[in-house]
Amino acid sequence: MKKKRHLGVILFVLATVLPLLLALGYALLYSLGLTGILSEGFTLKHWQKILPNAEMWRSLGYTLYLTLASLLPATAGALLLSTRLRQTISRGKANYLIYFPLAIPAIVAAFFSLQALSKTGFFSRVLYQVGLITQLNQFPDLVNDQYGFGILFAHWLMATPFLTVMFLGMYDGERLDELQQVSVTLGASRWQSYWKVVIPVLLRKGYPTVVLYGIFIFGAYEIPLLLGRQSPEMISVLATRKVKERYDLLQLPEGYVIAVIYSLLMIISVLWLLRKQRQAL
Amino acid sequence: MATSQTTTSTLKNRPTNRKVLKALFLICFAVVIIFPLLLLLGLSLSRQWIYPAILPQEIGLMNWSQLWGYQKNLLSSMGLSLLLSLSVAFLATWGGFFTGRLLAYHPRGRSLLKLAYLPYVISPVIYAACLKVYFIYFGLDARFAGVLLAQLIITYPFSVILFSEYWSSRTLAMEQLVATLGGTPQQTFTKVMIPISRNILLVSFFQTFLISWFEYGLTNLIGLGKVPTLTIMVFGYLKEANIYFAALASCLLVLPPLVLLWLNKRYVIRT
Repeated sequence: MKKKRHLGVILFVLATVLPLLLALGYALLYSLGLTGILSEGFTLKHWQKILPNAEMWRSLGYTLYLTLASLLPATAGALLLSTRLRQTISRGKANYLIYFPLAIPAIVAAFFSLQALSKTGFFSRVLYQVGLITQLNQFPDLVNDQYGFGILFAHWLMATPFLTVMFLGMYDGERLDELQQVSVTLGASRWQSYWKVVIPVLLRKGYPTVVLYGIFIFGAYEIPLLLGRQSPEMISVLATRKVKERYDLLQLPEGYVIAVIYSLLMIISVLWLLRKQRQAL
Repeated sequence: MATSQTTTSTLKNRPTNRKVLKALFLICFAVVIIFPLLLLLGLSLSRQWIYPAILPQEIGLMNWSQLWGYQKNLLSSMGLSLLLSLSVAFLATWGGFFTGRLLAYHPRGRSLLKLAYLPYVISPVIYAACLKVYFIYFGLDARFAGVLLAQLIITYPFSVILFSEYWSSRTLAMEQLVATLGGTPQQTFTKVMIPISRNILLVSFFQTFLISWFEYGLTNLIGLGKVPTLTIMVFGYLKEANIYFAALASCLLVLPPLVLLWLNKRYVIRT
């Protein structure tokens, strides 16, 4: 019985840790010139080339900006929907509606955003028909644009319903209606009970999922691939483009350097964010 | 007197105003949620959408009828995606079910469980880019089995995390009770544990199915585009600038998750 249990644990560790170690190990070896087509023995030249490279840092900054600009409004919107409009959206047919966007994959969300926001898209046509624009080029650049509005729009579309459903479940699970009643009985105003009881409880309980969703957005691929610009690119798109490069093989080790830096940054950030939450609890 | 009359009428009007506002909000809410699906459906039913017309010019079932004609590769792609996602969901769910139990009753289970979060720290597409060489080495690239394995690498830990909260002192007590009453370990599972775990098994199955069904980056890199799941087909049509068939493939992509969500909501959450 004990042997079986040990075997099970070993299999679990092999299935979760081994692929990650193999992946990061290979990326690290490739970036140090120890493996791959262009391998010439140990070298730091790819790291020396990428570390001062503005392209990668700009890409990391741009990815961070898009992650925060996607996640924060979506979380605020979800909190608003799940608390102030809870009765309206969790009763009757609307109860089914909020689940609909969860059936939309990232690639479809990106495709829809493209068809809705591009210069020949749906919104441009509506503005033309109501006479607000008279020419195609008067419609602003909302996809493949400088501020990544198309990317943000697609992420809001996906994240807001997901987080709303999560907060709605937590609202009932944490018995927030009763907790609110208690705080009012103890002398708090409705407003105080909302800001000092309901919102902090939901944020604290939902924190790990919101952090994980942030990681998902940070590593997003399909949405920025379709709706982003060529420069700056989100980090997943940049690393994958370099690793998939078939003509300029010198880009390959650079792609792996970026993959290693990105992975280390993510591991450190997640550990830090989760430790911060534990300290807060 | 006049002031009191005004106050009374304001108070009377307040619930009506609220109702109107609620109804307006509900309409806006429904439009925002249903609009993406309607736009995709509309595009899948057309062949021409010349600017600045709001509605497409040619509307009909001509694209959908091609599913049995020269676009039948879309139907076979849907079949392939279904087979892949069902296999991934089946394997990940059972793997997670038993591993979750193992970790829950293990003295170091809590620490070991943290390992299951590791694969989520890295973007699946970058993970795939770094793992690809091993798939090529073992001849698993551009193959169904390779994509299945790659998707299991991300869905199995998810399932383990999901089940880790399920196994508790309550389930352990139940297992012990069955054993005390003379049940064999096999009977404990087939007659008691699996039937009472039906809901969480279904939730895990649906969730892992959806992760696999929605997956694009990892599938494309490991499958080299030669395992044409529906997400690969959508991207293929977009590259060809064929928005009408991209919309059709998107509709096929959205349909099974909608059915699953409806089933999940109607039967799993209620029971």
